[in-house]
Amino acid sequence: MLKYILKRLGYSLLVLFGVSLIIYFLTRLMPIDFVKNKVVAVQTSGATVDTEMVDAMYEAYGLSENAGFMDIMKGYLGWLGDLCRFDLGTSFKYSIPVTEKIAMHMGTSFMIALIATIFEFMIAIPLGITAATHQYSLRDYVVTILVMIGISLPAFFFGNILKNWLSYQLGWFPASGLVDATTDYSGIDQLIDYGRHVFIPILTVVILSIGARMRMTRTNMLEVMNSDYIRTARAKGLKESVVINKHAFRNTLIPLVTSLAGLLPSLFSGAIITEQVFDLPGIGNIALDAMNAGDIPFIMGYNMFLAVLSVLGVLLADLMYAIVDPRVKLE
Amino acid sequence: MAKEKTSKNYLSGKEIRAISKANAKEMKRLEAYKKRRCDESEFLSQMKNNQNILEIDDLHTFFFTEQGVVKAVNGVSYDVPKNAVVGVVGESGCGKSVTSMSVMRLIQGPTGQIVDGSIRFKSKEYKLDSKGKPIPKAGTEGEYETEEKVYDIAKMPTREIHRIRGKQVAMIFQEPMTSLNPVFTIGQQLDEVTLLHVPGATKEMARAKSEEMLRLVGIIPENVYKAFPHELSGGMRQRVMIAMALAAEPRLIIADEPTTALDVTIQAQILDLLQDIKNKIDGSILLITHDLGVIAEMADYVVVMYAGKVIEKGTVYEIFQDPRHPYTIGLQKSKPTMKLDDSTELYNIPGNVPNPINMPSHCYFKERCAMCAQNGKCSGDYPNMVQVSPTHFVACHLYDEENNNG
Repeated sequence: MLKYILKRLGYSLLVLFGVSLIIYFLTRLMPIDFVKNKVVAVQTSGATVDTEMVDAMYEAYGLSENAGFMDIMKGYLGWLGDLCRFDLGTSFKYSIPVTEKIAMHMGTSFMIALIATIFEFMIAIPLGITAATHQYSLRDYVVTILVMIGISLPAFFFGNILKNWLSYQLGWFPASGLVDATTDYSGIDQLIDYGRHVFIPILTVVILSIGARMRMTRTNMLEVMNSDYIRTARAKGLKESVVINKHAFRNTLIPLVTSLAGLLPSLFSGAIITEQVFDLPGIGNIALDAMNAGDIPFIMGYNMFLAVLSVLGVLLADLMYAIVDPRVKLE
Repeated sequence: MAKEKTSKNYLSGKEIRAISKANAKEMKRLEAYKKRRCDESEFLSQMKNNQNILEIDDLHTFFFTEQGVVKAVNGVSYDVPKNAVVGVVGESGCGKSVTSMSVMRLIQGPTGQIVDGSIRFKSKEYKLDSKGKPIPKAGTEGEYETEEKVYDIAKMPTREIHRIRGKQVAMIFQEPMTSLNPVFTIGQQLDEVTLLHVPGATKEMARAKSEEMLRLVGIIPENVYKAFPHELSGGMRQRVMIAMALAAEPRLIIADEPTTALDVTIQAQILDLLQDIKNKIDGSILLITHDLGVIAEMADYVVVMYAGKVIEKGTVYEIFQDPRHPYTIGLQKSKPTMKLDDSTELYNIPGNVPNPINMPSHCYFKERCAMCAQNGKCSGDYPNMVQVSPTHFVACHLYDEENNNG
């Protein structure tokens, strides 16, 4: 087992190297130039910028105006060298170390994603099971239709509808942001205020993500319910509830638990669109801003962070498989 | 001409809608009937012959499909006497498995439904006191008073079916590779049966019973008890299935092609095992197979089915030495034997089973029959069961006159 994990981690390093190379080149090839943006910003404020200053800026940021392959390669090697010293560099846009900026905003996104995922599983799994055990009944159709609506709605649209309804019309929850700017809360009140701010975003994420998970549970459950060993369990004389909750559910869990491990990166990546809609200072929002500004160290740092999580998630999924399914042996 | 052919093989949208509407209504009614709450007296019954433990009487099990109603079991009647092995033979899709599944009430709803008929089963269960607990037998340890009751399984609501399943009737399925739950150990799955059916059973008792059962089917329990199903071979799994079926000491074992998935050397072992066990537990076996050799070896009585109906039934000697129905005769002829020389081709019955959705009104075997009566009777109604000896029955117009004369 340990040998297997070490081997997989070794492969992961290779994968991450490839990922970093691709992301770096793609980022550098984006039609966004941080220095040019900055020059334009300075010029619109009225000041003049001469060519020497621009050159100096390119020099300082390690960029160049019409970067060729060798320039990009040089930049990549520089970035890789820093990484080997555990230094992700300093963000161009935010002017603080990338790690610090990520750590600053990850908490909010992580809390929202974690709570949303817990609710998603708690709601989607029972719904999927009832839909499967009452296949083609009214219950199945109602659940399926509601869930299809959930899958089909885009986050920016549904988020805004919820915001309009719960915040502007009913006035139950604040519309955006993470803290109430007008009052300085402390202690338990601060926590309540925080909860009120994240309620609609979490609701949006949960409703939109239930669908896929519920469909997955339903499909798995149906497959299991039609299998021969469920017939055996019934033939033994077990009550239908035991057949479903013990024999069928344990088998349905296998793909569910595995998909749980695959969620690891999405817990930390932040919900870019939802965070935009509700103006939350989450990591997704920050990453989008960095992307628009051409902030290469931040984009690299953020994406590599997610790549590491993805690779770990896949490894974790395989390990979980071996735990929940006795047929799987890792070698 | 071309148009007629189209309408025969394809259904128009209108027809499909009409079928699904009619099906939905019928399935809803039958599902509601299965879910009803009712008093025990509604599904208690009486045996016609007290020597039998199972009487299947005019059973109809249909599948309501999108192409129409498939009459998989269409008026099947046969009995299983006490301490006997009854073999049911017939080709694939003739309804032999569906009949046995009906006895266990394992037909997959809502499409599959028992539509009509009765399945009377004489069960021997623990006498319950007013609190619903079994009454211990005076002067014994762990034994309880029992009583015999006759249930009509076809009329039982689903919530009552656990009285029969596992404890009274156990089933051995034809797919040993997939019939065990992959995430539980053999021990867990075996113990479950004892814990479920023996009153006051503890985990230790269940384990002791499971190990005893494994030994009975020729497995050394030490290695297998804690193993998962995927770690065993097909033959071992089938033995485990048999052990599981026997753990509650049922009165009737339904073995649905128990040897089909196994290779020949294991087949013989499994059959010997079943024969041994039948004698040990003093029960009856309903053996479903399409292998005539297995039937000849095992069965006391034989039921031959064709296209959802019983066409001939009798003792094993009558069916093998004096087959009457042209289909049974054809079946006997199509058995490969060592005596044939190389130039003789193996006999086969020409033609195919008629479409199960649009069954003809005449004898279903007419199109394939080499012995059709000349008087045009075979194109008439479906033949009735004719008695040719006290135990031998056949459904064929060739024997109508014999009956009339006698």
